[in-house]
Amino acid sequence: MNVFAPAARKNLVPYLPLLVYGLFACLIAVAGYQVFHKIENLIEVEKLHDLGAIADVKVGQVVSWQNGHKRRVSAFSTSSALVAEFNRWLNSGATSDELEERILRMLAGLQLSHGYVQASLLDREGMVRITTGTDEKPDATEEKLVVEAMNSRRPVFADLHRSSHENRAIILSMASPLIDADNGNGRVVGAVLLQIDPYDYFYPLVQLWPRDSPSAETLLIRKEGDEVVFLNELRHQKGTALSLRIPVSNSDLPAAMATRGEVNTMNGVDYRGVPVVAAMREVPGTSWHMVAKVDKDELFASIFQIKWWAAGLGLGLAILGGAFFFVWLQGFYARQRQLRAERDAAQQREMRVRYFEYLTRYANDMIIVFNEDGRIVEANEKAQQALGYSREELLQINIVALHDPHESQAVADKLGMLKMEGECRMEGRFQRKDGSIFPVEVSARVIEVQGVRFMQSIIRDFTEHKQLEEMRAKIEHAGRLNIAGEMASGMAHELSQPLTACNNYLDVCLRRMDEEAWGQEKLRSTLKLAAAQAERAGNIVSHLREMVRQNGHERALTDVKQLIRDVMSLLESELKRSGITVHMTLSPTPPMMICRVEIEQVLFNLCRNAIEAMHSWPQRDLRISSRLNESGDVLISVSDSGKGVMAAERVNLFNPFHSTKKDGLGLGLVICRSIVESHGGRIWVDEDREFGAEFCFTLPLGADHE
Amino acid sequence: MSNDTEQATVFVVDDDEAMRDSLCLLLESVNLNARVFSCAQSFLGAFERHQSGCLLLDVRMPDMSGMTLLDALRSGGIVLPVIMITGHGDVPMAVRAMKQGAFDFIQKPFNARELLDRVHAALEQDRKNRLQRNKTEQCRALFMTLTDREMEVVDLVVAGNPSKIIARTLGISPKTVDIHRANIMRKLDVRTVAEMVQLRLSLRDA
Repeated sequence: MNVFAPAARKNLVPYLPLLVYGLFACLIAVAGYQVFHKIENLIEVEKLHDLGAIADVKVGQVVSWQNGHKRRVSAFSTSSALVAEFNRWLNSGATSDELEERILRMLAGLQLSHGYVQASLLDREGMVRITTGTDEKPDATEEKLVVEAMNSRRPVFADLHRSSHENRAIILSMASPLIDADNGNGRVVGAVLLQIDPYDYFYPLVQLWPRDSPSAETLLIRKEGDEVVFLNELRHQKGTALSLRIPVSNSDLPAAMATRGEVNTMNGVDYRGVPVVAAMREVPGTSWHMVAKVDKDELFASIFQIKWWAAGLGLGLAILGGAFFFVWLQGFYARQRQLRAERDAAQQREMRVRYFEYLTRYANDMIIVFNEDGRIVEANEKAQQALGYSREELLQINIVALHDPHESQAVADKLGMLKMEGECRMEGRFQRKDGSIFPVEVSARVIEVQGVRFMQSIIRDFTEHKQLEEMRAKIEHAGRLNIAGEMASGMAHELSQPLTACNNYLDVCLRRMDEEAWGQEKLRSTLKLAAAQAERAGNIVSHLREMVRQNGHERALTDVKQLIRDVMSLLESELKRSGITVHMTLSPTPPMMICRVEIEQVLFNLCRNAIEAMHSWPQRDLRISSRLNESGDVLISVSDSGKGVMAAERVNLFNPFHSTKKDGLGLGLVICRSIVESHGGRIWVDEDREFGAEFCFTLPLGADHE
Repeated sequence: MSNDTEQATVFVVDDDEAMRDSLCLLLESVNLNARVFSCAQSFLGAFERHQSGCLLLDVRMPDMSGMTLLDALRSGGIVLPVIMITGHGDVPMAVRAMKQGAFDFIQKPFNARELLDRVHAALEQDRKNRLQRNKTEQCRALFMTLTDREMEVVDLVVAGNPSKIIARTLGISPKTVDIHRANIMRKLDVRTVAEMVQLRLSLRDA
């Protein structure tokens, strides 16, 4: 767990600032949105107030316009002159054209002065008697209007409607009773019917917006059944007067809201499906409602720009801030990393220095650094310890002086080689301060410190190693002895059986002969049994020899030169250890059909004997040669500079169990002879030597022996 | 007793035919009965436990080795003296054999004289063993004539208790103990208490 915790935190770190940053951005965005929403709300409230005022004004204007007409018509229709003239004309049976002409002139004057479409005078039955237009007969609405006016004795407006004429024009009709004030106590004698073209003045009056606005408008509506009917021409849609009908159930429509008695809405959707803010008012004395509305888009157009600017600016700032933050963070982390890396590097440097110090100071091998002149400049504790000098003493000494004085020439050669080749290895002997000598292995190298060449040598005390090697050699030898011993034991066991049996038979025979108890025949058969056992023993011995000799070794074409080299490389370390110089004189010889392992064994044995013979001898040279001799055989000789072979020893040299060595088995040369002879060759020791011994053996070419 | 020696047989178990044959001839040449077997199993099949004599046993044999046969004999309670014949370098095995109760061992190749000496020694040992065993048998038969109560008294006497203690231990009167003792002496045909104790102990050792 603990192992993973820091790693997890490390991964989280870059995201944490990002998270905080994102949170801040969201917060600011939400706050900005809230502020804008508030502002919008304020604007809406403000606008609604304006709209209400406008709607009120419009309603006032419509009412006063209506009232103006009513007043004027009322004045006209109650003017005694007209009523009197009309009455007279009616009473006269409508025959006086002159009178009719006069009345018509008055009507035309009225129509002209107030811009009516048509003005008509009707009798009490509601029949049109005199008209400025062509319509002889009022439509149903107008008939009702006329009756209402006459009954109520005051001017009445009809609702907007389409005329029954072919043109189906929208008209606003008004009727006023004709009251004869002079005669008959204000008797109603008829009515005047006026038709107003709403396009002329009324619609512009309704539509006119007091201020310059691209979307604001006022409109009139009324409810007809389940529908809202738009009465005037709309600003954003043509041909709507009395034609556009929208169901009341459309609850967002400000016109529908008006029919429900609502006066304000902030979330209206008008006939175009555009969101609007609207104020609604009833028009008194009519079934109409006045709606004043303006598009929200227009309302917020002023702040809309600001909104986008602000949002853009905010976003830009956020990105810029984020970028700066990111860059700063990167820099921060980079700095941190760099600091950490520097700290680690410093630590590592220190560690490495300390390691090296330990490495050299407490190394198990001596480490000595010296300059090109051989003067020692540095030596580790092991060197001081092993050589018996103090550090100060060592720094005064030349490297050559540490070597065995007998080796100084070889050391000088090696130093030369070291300077030339840059590195060298050697085995040698060092001399301690007290004069004692010990074997060492030296591995030296040229190093360069700030342009100056130094030699660094690592020196291993070989004393222990040598002892180990000797011990190993002893163990090996003991092993060999043991194997021989076991073989002897096995052989003895095999042989003891028939020998014992033979012995028994013979004993019985002797006994019986003494007793003279047995006849010739019985004795003979028993002696035969004894002889059979003796033969059995003989067979065991010869079988054993067969087994030892054959041992599954097969012969193959072999290059003797290579074989000799291989054996020498096997012996290399031993030769080196014993300080023996090898001289090989190998003439080319044709490949031979021999058992490689066996011939190797022969060479190995001869060389081992030579090495051991030179062990306590000052001169140590091992010579090996191979060549073709006069009779066409390959002659191989191994000679040493040891103590040589005594004349007395020569006799038994190749006989088993004769050894001049302290713990030798005396079998080595026996085996050699057996192998060489099985190859059809000969082995001998050269007798004409002043010193050392030379063993020679021949291998015939191409001979197929055994 | 002299009967036994004449009936004594020298058993030879060796897988090597020549050895078997030559040993047989050798043993017969000195008037000894010899029976030879080529393996341990056939010897075990033919041998009856009361036969007297000795066994010449080769250590190294296929199937069942001499050591295994020796183990089998000893765990079967057969006391026949065994001379192990070992090969060269088998000394540790011979030592082991001796520890497991072999009478002697002889190393191949051996001298006939040497072997015969050991065979005679083994036969002598066997004879002694048999004598001893016969004595023990007789002794056991004598003790069989004692009653259970008398046997209890004998054991208490052997343990070195005086009559008084014996009487108290067995819950009888000292007088009765004395009567028991007299009966025991008569039945065992001994005259002194010391003889009785010796007789009892010799039986226990067997």
